[in-house]
Amino acid sequence: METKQLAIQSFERGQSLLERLNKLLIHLKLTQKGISDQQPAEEIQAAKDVVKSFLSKLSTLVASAEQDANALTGVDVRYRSLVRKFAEAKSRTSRYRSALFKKNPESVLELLDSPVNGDMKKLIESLTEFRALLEDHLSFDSRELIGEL
Amino acid sequence: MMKQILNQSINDFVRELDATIDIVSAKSVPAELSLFQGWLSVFYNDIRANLKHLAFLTDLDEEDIFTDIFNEFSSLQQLFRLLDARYLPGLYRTHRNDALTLKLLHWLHCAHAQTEQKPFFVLDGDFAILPTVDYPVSYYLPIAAQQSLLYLPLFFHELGHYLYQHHRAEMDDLVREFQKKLSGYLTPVVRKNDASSQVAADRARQKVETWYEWIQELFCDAIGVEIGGLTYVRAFSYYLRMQGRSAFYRPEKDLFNSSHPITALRILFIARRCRVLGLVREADELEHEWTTIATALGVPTEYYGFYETNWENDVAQTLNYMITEADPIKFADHAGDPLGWIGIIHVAWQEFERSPGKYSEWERLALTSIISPKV
Repeated sequence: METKQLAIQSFERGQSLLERLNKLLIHLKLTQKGISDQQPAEEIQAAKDVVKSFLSKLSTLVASAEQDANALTGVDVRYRSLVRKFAEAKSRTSRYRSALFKKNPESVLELLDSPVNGDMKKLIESLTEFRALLEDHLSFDSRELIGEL
Repeated sequence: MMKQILNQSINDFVRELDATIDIVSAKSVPAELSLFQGWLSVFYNDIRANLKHLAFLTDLDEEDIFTDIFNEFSSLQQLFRLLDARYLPGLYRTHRNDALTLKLLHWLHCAHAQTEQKPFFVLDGDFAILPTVDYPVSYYLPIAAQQSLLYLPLFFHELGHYLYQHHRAEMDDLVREFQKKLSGYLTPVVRKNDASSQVAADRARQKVETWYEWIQELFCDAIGVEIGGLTYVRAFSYYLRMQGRSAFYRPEKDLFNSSHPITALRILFIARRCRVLGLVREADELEHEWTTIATALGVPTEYYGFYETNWENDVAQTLNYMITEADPIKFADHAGDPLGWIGIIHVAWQEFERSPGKYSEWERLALTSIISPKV
């Protein structure tokens, strides 16, 4: 598998997730203020489903990566890199402070369905930090595919 | 101020998008690219609709979401620039010399349910594919190869990468099972808690992980043989056998996290599949060619524990499962048709090997009948 091939697959996977994260964050913040974002409910639910599915897989892989000798199986080299960046971020407590990194990805899965207002704040913090990590990860793929000015 | 920056940038992006949408719709393209042209048009209009929504959100004047609007804008812009850099040229720069490749790929895509409605295009470069699921598939091939039949079977391998992505969940499961077997072979039974044991465990882990990429390449070779039979074997061997020592041997440090297995190892599994498919003589010849070169170069057969002979059946069994999942067309169903692609390329290799000096003239006439057939 060529570098560009891995980069486009990582870009495609990450871009789709980023789009959903942005949509959810805007929706959650405006909902808190009682403002409609004019997004159909089914699109918001679909965005939640994509994020849940990704975090669920990530949770399994991060648990595996945290046991040093375990190989990350069934995933490509860019995905493995993302999992390891996530595992490292959990120990960088000065930068990553949300529930997602303090606890584990599973905890955010519960927040996605929680109707409690205080949970929404925690969810926004978690998704915002996850988006930052994902954007850092995807910048490598973008440079590989698009280049820089 | 941030609101003004967002509005200005959205307006500029809309201007650039509209210009691109005009270019796409005005371009006259070969029939094989019409799916791709339609996809681009829909996709650019989707981006435009998303921008319209971002303009609405910006006008709400809620500072809390300005960062999110910025992030979404940035994400859409990255996508737009990716299309501009890697996809739009496939439509904008299309050339009459693309005709042969486009026709072959159109046939190949139509022959598989997974790709029948999948937009694709071709660009210049070494043989490669960008096998995306949500975006069109881009194929790359060298300029000289665009005017010849001989190396077209290498696209069968590239199609394998797309088939893997199409069946990704199932393929990843199969590969995971295989990697677990390898882990069992490579991980020491008794793990000591000293530094050297840690190093050994880490190397074993990296070997197992490297096989995620390697098994996919072997799978794509298997797809090549299943679809192309002898045509793939000849194209693969001619294209790679003279690339130097690295086809037979690579230093240990170069193997960790490498994207492809050593080519000589690929030959082993190509030959094995040939035999399963009844191409016994062809498999013997292939192995003889590569053994002859390896002997002449004096290169060692050394995989540094990335491959052991006793894994051969595990690799072959995983490849069989993956082929069953992908279900490619079989060369045997097409080789008998002298006017079909496999039949024509098969004859091309026979002509080339029988009389290389006269081959170009033969190929010129064959290409004329393919590109501009008499009705």
